Amino acid sequence: MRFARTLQLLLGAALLPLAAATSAAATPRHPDPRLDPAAVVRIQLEALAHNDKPSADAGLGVVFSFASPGNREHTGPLEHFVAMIHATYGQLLNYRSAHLSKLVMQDDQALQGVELVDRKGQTARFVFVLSRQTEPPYAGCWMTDGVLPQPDDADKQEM
Amino acid sequence: MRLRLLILLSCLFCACAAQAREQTFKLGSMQVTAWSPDQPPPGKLPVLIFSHGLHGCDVQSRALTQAFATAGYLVFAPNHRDASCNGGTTPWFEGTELMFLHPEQWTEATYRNRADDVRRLIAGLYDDERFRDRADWSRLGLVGHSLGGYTALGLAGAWPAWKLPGVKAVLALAPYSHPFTVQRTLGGLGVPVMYQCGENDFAITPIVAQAGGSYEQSPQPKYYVEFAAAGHLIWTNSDDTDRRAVLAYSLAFLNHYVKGEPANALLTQRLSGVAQLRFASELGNSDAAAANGESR
Repeated sequence: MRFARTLQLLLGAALLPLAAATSAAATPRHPDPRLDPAAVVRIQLEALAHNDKPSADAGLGVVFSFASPGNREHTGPLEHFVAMIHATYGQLLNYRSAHLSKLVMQDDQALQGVELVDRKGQTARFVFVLSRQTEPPYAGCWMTDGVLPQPDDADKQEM
Repeated sequence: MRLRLLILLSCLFCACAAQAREQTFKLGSMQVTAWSPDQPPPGKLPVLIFSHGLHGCDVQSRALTQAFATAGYLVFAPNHRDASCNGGTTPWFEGTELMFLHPEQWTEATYRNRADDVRRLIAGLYDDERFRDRADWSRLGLVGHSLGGYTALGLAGAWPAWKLPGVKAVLALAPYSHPFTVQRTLGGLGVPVMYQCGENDFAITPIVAQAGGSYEQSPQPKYYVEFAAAGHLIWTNSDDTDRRAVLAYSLAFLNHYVKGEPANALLTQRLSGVAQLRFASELGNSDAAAANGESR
């Protein structure tokens, strides 16, 4: 907790207040052509931060709804997706705070770097890969093709 | 057979119970971390060069590099220009990642600086009095994670202009092999290769494992190990999962093809926690065996 507060102090306004950014009632929590890539990432991050509200893994349900059709081919259905995230990317669940890098966009593709402090107080980095869909029913919607974890030098592993 | 495997695993882990010495130093302007056995066996040691992933760093896979050293290797890991930890100053996210979405546009010039780092490292170590009498350069292996896997595969011949003479084997850990696969250059690999991937690493694993993918395009001898419920970082410090099987398969491969030890059973046996093991080598062909209805 102290680490997260220190980080907040150090980064100041650079730490995105995710709840404030996405709590507007008008913001849809499903794919919508009005949502830009940054908004899509923020909605997912907000859902992940409170994964078990209002029910267990409700947040992952939101995240899965933003998975692109190509992504779902590998990760779906939802039950498999939930099990996979718990088994492999647990740091994303119920994290404490997140910092978003500048969004990078080229044509119909976008990358969003996210640095978060997980529920154990450890820092983890991910890159969200998004693309604008061209086929119905999601034509024009930005959706997530994948989330790539990035390595760091903190020792958490022993062999 | 199961008992024999357990004994084999125990032996591998006994070997790693010893300690390794870690030292970080500068070679010209390049930061390098080296691991060596605390109690080295007599004679010169085989050498492994470890190439880190994009925005990783020399020590990003310390548990693995350390374990290689305790198993009797001299291990060297450079900080490439894109390193973002342990002294690496490149911002961890700078937008250049977009190029990873277009592997068909990659050429031998793409990340050539990483190949040059490895060449400079080897040239520098030849002359370095700390290591020159301890390193057996006739037994050289390349290990790389993610973009480091791209670097290692390129140096092993996937980019012909990069080809590094004297390499005995390549251990490619969740390698970014997309450019070689879409451009069909993996036929240029001139040494044994082991691909290791994570079942849940959807950015990498399908490209390596799919029909016509990196594994299938690679010449023999070749191995493919896919770890169950694993993501992109199980080979790094960022993942705290127990991955002893990663080390076991890595050493089974390196000990055989770099050290020159007899092949051990693990190279053709699927341990618990391994979703998939494929091989085509002097030890057999798992795909042919599967087609004939044999099970391993």
